[in-house]
Order: sequence, then structure tokens, then C-alpha cells
Amino acid sequence: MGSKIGVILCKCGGQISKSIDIDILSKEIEGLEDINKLLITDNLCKTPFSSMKEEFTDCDRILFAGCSERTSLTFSEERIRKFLREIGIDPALYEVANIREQCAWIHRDGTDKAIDIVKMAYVKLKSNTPALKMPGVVKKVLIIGGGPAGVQAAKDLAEEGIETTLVESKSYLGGHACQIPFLLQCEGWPSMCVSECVVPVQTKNLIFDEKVNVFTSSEIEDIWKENGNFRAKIKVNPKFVDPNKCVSCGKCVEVCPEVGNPSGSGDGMEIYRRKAIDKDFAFAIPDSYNINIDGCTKCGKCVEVCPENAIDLEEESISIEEEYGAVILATGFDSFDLRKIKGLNYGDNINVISSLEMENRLNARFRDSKPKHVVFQLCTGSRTEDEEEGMPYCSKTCCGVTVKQIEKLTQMSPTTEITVLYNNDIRTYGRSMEQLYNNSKLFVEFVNGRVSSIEKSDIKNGFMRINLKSPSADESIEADLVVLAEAQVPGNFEIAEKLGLKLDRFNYPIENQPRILRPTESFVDRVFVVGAASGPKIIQESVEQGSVAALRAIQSFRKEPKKFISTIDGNLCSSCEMCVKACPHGAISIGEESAVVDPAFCQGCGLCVSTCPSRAVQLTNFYDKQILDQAEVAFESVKEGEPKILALLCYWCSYSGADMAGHNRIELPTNFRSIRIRCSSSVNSGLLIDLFRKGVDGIIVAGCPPKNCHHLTGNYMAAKRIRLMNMLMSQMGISPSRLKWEYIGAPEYGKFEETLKRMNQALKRLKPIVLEG
Amino acid sequence: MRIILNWAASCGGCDVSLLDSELALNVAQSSEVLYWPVALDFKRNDLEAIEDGSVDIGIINGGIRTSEQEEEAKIAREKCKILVAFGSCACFGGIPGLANQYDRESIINRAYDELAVSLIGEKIFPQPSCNVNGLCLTLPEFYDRVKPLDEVVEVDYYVPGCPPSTSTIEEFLATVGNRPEKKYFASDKSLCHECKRNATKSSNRVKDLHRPHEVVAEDVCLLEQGLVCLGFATRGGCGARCINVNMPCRGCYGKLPKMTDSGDAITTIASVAGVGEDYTPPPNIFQVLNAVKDPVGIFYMFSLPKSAFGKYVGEEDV
Repeated sequence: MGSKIGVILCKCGGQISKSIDIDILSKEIEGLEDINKLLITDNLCKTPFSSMKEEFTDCDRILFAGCSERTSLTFSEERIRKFLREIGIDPALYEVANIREQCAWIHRDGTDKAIDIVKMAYVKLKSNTPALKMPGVVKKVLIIGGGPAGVQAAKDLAEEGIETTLVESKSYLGGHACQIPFLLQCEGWPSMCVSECVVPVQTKNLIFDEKVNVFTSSEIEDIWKENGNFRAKIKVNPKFVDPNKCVSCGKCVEVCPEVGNPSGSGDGMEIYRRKAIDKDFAFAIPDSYNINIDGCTKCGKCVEVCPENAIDLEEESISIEEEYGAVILATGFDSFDLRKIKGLNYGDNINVISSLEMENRLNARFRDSKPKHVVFQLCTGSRTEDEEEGMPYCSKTCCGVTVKQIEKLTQMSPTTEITVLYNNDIRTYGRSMEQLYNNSKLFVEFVNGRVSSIEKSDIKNGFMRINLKSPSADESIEADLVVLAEAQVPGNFEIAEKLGLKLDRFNYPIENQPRILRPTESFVDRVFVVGAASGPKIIQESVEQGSVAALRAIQSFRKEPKKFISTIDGNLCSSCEMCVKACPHGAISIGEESAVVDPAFCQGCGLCVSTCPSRAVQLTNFYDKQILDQAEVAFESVKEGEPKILALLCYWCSYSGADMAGHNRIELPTNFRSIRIRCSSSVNSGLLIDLFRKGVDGIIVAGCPPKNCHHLTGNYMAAKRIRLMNMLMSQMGISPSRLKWEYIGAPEYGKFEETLKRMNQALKRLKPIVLEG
Repeated sequence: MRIILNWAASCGGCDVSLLDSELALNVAQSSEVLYWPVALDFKRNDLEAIEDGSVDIGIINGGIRTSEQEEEAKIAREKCKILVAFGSCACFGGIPGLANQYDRESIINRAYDELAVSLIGEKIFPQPSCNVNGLCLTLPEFYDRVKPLDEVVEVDYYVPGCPPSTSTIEEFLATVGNRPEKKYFASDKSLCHECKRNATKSSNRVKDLHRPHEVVAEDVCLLEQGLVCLGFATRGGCGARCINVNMPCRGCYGKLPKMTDSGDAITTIASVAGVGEDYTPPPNIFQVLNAVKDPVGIFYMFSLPKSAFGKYVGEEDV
């Protein structure tokens, strides 16, 4: 059965018809098979879509000949989707013949080329297949991590009526914020909030929200993707006290004979010495006691005194498995292990502490004894080239946190002498931190330098000798407290790995491109990364991200049918796993018989398609054959002796770069054609060979500028591939000028022009090539 | 069964590999070998004397480098009901086919001018014919390129391998008489599919690539260890004999059925090699390719003549 094609030919208010003869073009279009309707319009984008409905009732697919779907400001892909919905045509059964940006605007007489371009779109459209409907997404969100970011996300989701599960490994919500008595409010206002107040404000009602399931003292045992959703196995560890019964009367604590581990154990952040049964701190939420079982002897005294019968010493952990449609990773941060840094004696000396531990001392208000001289060292484990001793990046908040601590310290102990060792510069960003810094300069000595060693000497009572290394002069000072502003490193990144997120070299998840417009989105669909899990932040920034992710999670439940989806032919697949390695979106796994694509996670980039040596993977509506078919008709009007140049331009940056030549009215040679490919890396080198066999003389492959690929490293994959192809061609006596790789960003139309013209010149000197075999 | 065996541009390893197989010896016992010049004293006349179409199976190893080899292949074709391209050279051109990186003139100059030790004080170049004392002496023509066997005659079956493994040979001998439907005596799936080290693959990309002499390989997937093992792009059926002794697959069983060229593996290697590129200055992303010194030698070691790059083109601005 033939297809029924409707063609809309837009004159763009004369801008297209100025250099393209619409009569000739429309006659050519009418001469094509299966054209049911040709509508010539003066300005499609200004015409109400509803008025078009009647025109195409007898069509099942639409060819738009007009402006570029990529860079048109008035008829872009999104509007095309709306248009198709309005007239009732499948969202994949359309193609655009870009006769404006890449024809009328760049050639004086574009008629012949426009005919070729329309034919290219036509042959492709004929073999397009309907968009793939996506499996239903479970409208439930899993939030991993109950710090400020995760809690905010949970609150916002609950507010919107979305069922949410919040999993927190500690026995209380609030995360590190609970260990920081004075929280910087924001970058603009130089004030602080007390965490004892603000954390319960954020967390306390969440416990009672029926849309939210809060699991504290719990962990993610396993998490995986299944049928377009996520399945998680959650292990809920016993608290031995039923929070539904406990009224926090504290009678159990009075009788408990055992001292438990410090709360927040493991990272040295003791808030107070707790008993085996206790709360971690007074305002811990949920407001319920729990037993630190490592310290408990099960003497049973607490059970006897509990008026509510809330204590069960034999409680066991339970495992819950559930399905979610979106995951928000709010796994926070860990402090860089300061013991790795030589010379600091961290861990051996109770007066050499981390910034977070300093928060505990500030919480105790230095009531017992006030330090006489405190040395703060910034960038401890941050901004270091020595991988053993830290991270190369700036942990961003430590300078601000330090000046905040100084402000509090001087309030509590005005006579304490303070020295700050900084690493070449101070990075108190924003108005509030800078103001705190300026305030402190009046009474704090700032020294550009670092601690080289600390000697535990008893020069004076409890004082240490601190030897400094500084660009000006090495010296030594005496102090009784050293505070190391430690670097932050990502918390539990193993979960991110399990979800198939791409991590950067520090194990932070990489955000999806364009990052500017997609905050908190990871490379895996419906997995969001918020708060310190995506990088050091002050609390307010984390809260912001929690809110953003909540909104995006809700939006992500809507799954439109997709035009481009990878599909794997199991009969051809050898399970060699190359596609899994190549997929930047965690959409492919190895099944029992073959590799399997989960279409709900596939972003249609085609990296797997080109990578698959078995050619078992194909992208719908981007079949190799469609590209070859297009090449077949692309150059019909190119005259003998003119090289046939095909530009394979990546979907985002490079196609847009070529369009921009049009927007800037740059005149280009008429003998090139372009195909908007899914990613510069979506085309296999074998397909390039096949294109040469079709008589193409030269091929430009272009992708996003370095670090800007929408599929992480597709541009690099393509660059490497073309590099090897060029080496190979040189070995075989084929001019490498026939195949050129270029990074072309959206504004780099000049680069496109230059590449094209240079290739054109080089190819004019060469005869057409015939490949053997 | 009436059998003939012949060799063309090849090393003789294929003939030896036949002798590795017990089944081959049994077959030989129960068959009539009418022509096998590498083993017994046969001449062209003996081949020509056989009645056309009277031979059940003709097994030819080696690619076609000279006119003589082409002539004999054509004669053999006339004599045989089934003609088999045996070994990678006959199937794809094989290692001698790597000479297709050069044209005839360069090869002859290299061999008879640049490298030749002249015994009589002057350079002598081979000619198709020359007159000596009134006699015309002839040599077969040295072609411009090596061709796979099926470029000069129709081939019924392909038995790839350099040389074909014993198991492939035995499967071939046991079934070819029944005229099986499949043309290739190799798997349609890749070597990875049957390689026991496939299970040790990770979902991560490969950090560095190495040349085989640079690493002491362990008993896990060689590609994971940075060796350009082409098992993913090569038909299985060999039993992963190279990988089992830590040598990366070089592709002697030929490209997978759907590949355009064996060099399509370039795409895969470029896709999976390189990690941590998020912070790499762009020019440095190519460093991982430093181990690929010779793309033709790596990706077309056995298949150059039967590829899109089967002939040196010699464009001017190379």
C-alpha cells in the first residue's frame, strides 16, 4: 500500500520564492508518486493550525518544504509536533525539506537544489515508520537521601499529590544540615538560620504526609531499570522503637546503662554522646527514639519503663521492593578523608579538626574552654594537583563557611586570635559571604600558605607548633586549634553507577546537555541529581535543586511517542556488549539471548547503531537505508565535474551551524547537500563507504564542539573514527580530503563555510573515485 | 568421492591444516585425489586432462595474484561440481592481499630494484615474455592487485581461517557433500558470542589501547585489557584459539554478514576506546589511538582485497 503524502510548500513571505522558482518546484513535487495534496502557502507559521485540518484529511504523512526545523524561530520541531497533532498525523510521519536556511538563503538560484532537497525528504518520508508509543511510567518517585535537597523534593512532590518514597540512611532527616548549627541563609543576605529551627520546619510535617513514605535508617540494597521504570529493593533497618508509639518521653534514656556510638558516627560528627537508646539530637525528625544496637546489651530496662510499649528488641530489618517512574538522587557528600594528607596528624590530635567538626564545637558554644589561637586552613584537600592528597576542584562553599565560623567564633570568644591560611585566593562568592569576609579582615590575619607539618609540642599548655609553607616566607606559628576546611566528595555514587549514570572523573554524575536548560537532569531519563550529590552547595542551593527536580520529575512522567528509538534484532546480536559501552543514556543491557534496549530510556542518539559491529541495532526513522536513499537522489542536479559533497551534520550544534550560514546570508557553493544525523557518531564508517559507493565525492561529518556533545562523547567517537578512516584512506592512496571531521558549533557557520569551500576546491582536482569490492 | 586441491597465492598452511584433521585423512582414504600439486607431482596437464564436471569437490586455497593462478582456478571450476574457497586468502585475499596497499609497479620496483641483489651487474625486472637465444620464455602476468578467488570464478562455499581450524575443517568435510544451504563454514555471529571471556566484559569503555607486546594479558576479555581484539567484528567458529593463548583476534574468519567492510570495526573501536574525556583537552582524545599504528594492518589483515579499499588508488594529494 502506497503512502499518502501531503506536501506543504511555504514561500516564507517571498523569502523562499525569491531564489527558488515555486512553479517549477511545485510541478516537480506534483510529479512524485503518492502525493495526495500539495498546499502552497505564503507563511505557514502564521496560519492557524486548525484551519489546515480539512486540507490533509486524505493524507497520512506530511512533507514540509520551508524553513529549518532546527533553527527556525517560528516553525521549530516543537511546533511541528503540535501541528501534526492538530491535523491528526503521526508525529514520526513527517520530514522537513529545509529549502530556506540551507538553500534559498545561501544560493542565488536555488531551484535545482531545492528540487533535490525535497526529493531527499520525500524518499526518506516514504520509508518512515510510525512513532513508537512508550510504556506507561509509574507515577511514583523514589528519592534517595533525606538531606535538604531530598526532603524539599519530597515535600514539593507530595504537594502536587505525587506518591513519593524517601530513603535516608541515618535515623533522622535533614542530613548534614543537622550537624551545622548555623546555616548560611543564601548568597545574598549575610545572615544565618539555626538548624535546630529550620531543619524541623522543613522536615517535621513530611512524616505525616500520606503521599510520602519516609524510610529512615534504610538503604538501597539494589536498584535497576525494568520496562521503562525503576525497581528498587529497600532495606529498612530496625530502630527497635516503634515511631508510631514512641512519644519521646525520654524515660528509656534515663534507665539505659549503655553509651552508644556518637551520633553521625563514621564521619566524626558527634553532636552529643548518646545512650544506646536515645535520639541523635533533641530535634531529630522523626521525633522518636531508636536503639544503636552496637552499644546495646539488650538488658531490657528500657522495655520495662516504656509507657507506650514501643520498644521491641527483637525487631528485624525488612526488605521492600517497589517500582518507580523517576528517581531523585540526593545522596549528598562525604568529607574528603583528611588522614590522607601528610603532615596534618588529622585523626591523631583532637585539636586538629575538620570544618564539620568545628560546627560541633560551635554548637557547644566553646563553653568549657575557649581556644586562644585558631588556625583555619582553606582548601584542605581541594584544588590540589596531588591526587593522593585531595581533589583538583574547588569545593566552593568552604571559604564562605569558614568566614561564617569566624563570625560565630568571635561572638562566642572575642579574644581568640584567628589566622586563616588560604590557597592563593579567597573564594567567598556572592554578597553575603564577601561581606562576612570583609568583616573578618579587621581582626583576622590572612596568610597565603599551607600547613606543612604540625608538631604536638607543649610550648604552652596545649599549644601546637604549626610549620607553614608560604610563597612569601616559611614560618611557624603556635595555635591550640587547627580547623581544616575539607573538600567535599560525592556521597554514595554506587547507586548512580547502578542506574547507568555517567560519572565524571570525580564520580559526580554528569548532567544532560544542554546543561544550562536542564538543571538536575542526568544522562539517564528520569534520574535527577540534586544537592551536594551534584557538587558542593550551600543549603539554599540544594533546596532549590530539590524543587526543580520535583517539577521535572512530574513533567517526565509524560511520555510522548518517539520518532527515533534503537531496536535490536536478536537474531543478529552477538551480545558483544559494545552497544552497552557506547550508550550514554544507560538504555541498553544484556539480556539472556541478546542485548536489549529499554525504549523508555533510549534518547535516539544512534551511538549504539553505529557501534554495533553486527548491525543488529537500527534506529527507527534513521535507517541506514534511508540515508543511502537520500544520497541516491541528493545530487541529481549537480553538474558533471562538480564534486558531490554530503555534509552529515549532528542534530544539534552542527546542523544549526550550517543553518546559520543561511541566517547570515552567506553564499555557499550549490553542490553540497546536508543530512541532519542524530549525533555525529550515529553513522558507521561502513555507511560512509557505502555513501562513497553511491557516487558521493566528499563527506563532511560534523558534531558539537568539544565537551558539548548532547550524548556525552559522541563527537569524540566520531572524531576518532574519522581520524582512523583518514589514516586508512592515506594508506590506500585515497585523498583524505574526501572525508573531513569538524567540530561545528551553532554559531560557527564560518567554520562550516570554510570546511565546505576547502573540500570543494580539493575535490575539483580529483577524479570521481571507484571503490573496489 | 573425487577431489582436487590446488593452491594459489598462499603460504601452504592451509594444506598443512588439512593434514591436522583425522577426518581429512579418512576422507582422503575413501576418496580419489586427482590433483594436489603441493603434495604430489602434478602438472597443469593433469588438471586439464580431467573430464569437465567430473570432480565432486575442488578445494582451492590462496588468493589470485598471477594470471597462472586465475587460469588454474578457471580450469578447476570447469572440472568441479563444488568449488570451495579454502582459507582466508582464497576467501578474502588474506595476508598476501596486504600488498594491495601498493600497485604492481611499486611492488616490482621494491623487489627487483630497491631490494634486489644484482648478480650480473644490472637490474633485471620480470617480464611476461622475453626472447633468449631465439626462444620465447614466458612468465605468468603479475597482476596489479591480489584478488579473492570469487572475483575470478564462482565459488560455492567458503571455509575461512588462517588456517581454518580443525573443527571448521571437519564440519566442512562432513557436510559439504550434502550441499548445505549456508555458504560460509563459520558462525553468522561474532567470535565474542562463543568466546568464554565474553562474560568478563564490563559495561564501561576501555581506558587505554595497547599493542600486544606491551601487555601481559590476563585471562579476561582482551579488549577490556586494551588490546584491539576484533572478535566482536569477526565470524565465530574458530573456537577462539588465538584469544585462548592471549593473542587478540585479527579477523581471519572474516567480517560479520551485515558489515559493509571489515574496517567497520574502526567505528566500534573509536566508540569504546577512551574514558575520562570530559576533562581531556580535545586534541588529547586521539592519544588512545596511538596503539593503532597501522589501520590497514589491524582492520584488514586478512580481507583487504575483498574490501572497499581493495586496491591502491593513488590520488595525488595523499
